[in-house]
Amino acid sequence: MSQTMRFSIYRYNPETDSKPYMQDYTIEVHAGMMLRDALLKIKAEDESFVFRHSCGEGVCGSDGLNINGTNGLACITPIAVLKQPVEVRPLPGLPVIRDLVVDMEQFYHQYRSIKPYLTVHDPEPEEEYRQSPEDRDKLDGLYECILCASCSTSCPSFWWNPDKFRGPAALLQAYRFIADSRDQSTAQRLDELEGPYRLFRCHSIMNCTNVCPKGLNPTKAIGEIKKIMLKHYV
Amino acid sequence: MSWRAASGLHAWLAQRISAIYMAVFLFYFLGVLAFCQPNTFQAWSDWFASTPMQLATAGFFIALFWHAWVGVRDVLIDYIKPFAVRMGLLVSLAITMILLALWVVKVFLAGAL
Repeated sequence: MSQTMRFSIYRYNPETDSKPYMQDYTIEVHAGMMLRDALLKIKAEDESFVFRHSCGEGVCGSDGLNINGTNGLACITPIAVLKQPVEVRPLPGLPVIRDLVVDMEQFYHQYRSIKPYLTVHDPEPEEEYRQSPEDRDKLDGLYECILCASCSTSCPSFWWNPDKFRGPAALLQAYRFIADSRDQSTAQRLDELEGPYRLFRCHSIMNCTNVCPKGLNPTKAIGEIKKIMLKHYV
Repeated sequence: MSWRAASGLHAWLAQRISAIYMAVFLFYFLGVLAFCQPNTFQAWSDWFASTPMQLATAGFFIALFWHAWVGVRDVLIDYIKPFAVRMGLLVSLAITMILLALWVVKVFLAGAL
């Protein structure tokens, strides 16, 4: 049995609108529908409406949105749990390109800055890089990040200083490589994060952990980086 | 020590160490107030006259100033972008804290005499 549901969607087209506005839509929904399905239905009715999406199952990280005030992925948010009218806005703090599409450059810049790849100074091994199962376990809860930006864009420190503070997503990845037994750049990685901004703008308010659609814990990773830094310098 | 470490890891560490010290001191201070009840002027001044208590109290104020400096500086770094405004506020904060510290020293000296 189908029923209707009300949505209030952030709209902004810089070519035609002088400022953003909220547009109301009422659509027919069915049981088990995710927010992404509802947005696709809205787009079918009003093709001027734009949003990013791809895999539809919480793997690609394209449809990070602000849903009723909380960041999350539209494709794994069941509409049944949402209060009406469902307010859908772009991820906060990033420049809006159009409607729900934001410019992620600042976010990617911070991600690139932490050098998200293994650095090895030893000669390359003949076959493969070896890692014990115990060392591999240390990467659990870190490598699963899909870079949807839900965490960084819910972090006030990232809102105020997106150009200087790395943000929870990039810091989680920084720790992913610091914790990796195969990586040989720990000292450089720690040194790169030193100073008042890059790491230490985090005040552990845990907004990032609250919203992570993959259930990861950037605050804990940031705490681990601080601990390792402390051991390294003392 | 580089300025980067001083304004990053060291500031963060200073805030935690000073917080722990103040928590322990306040726990002791309130414990004495609750259980020993130094109700008279004599009892109160005897309590503060001992050297360990004076050192502990001096330590408390050092921790307090250290903690307050890092904390307020953090808020200014977070929210105040224009360099001139931020420096102006940091300098006025420093002056205020130096004046307060001098006042604390004056109280200490008055107690010691």
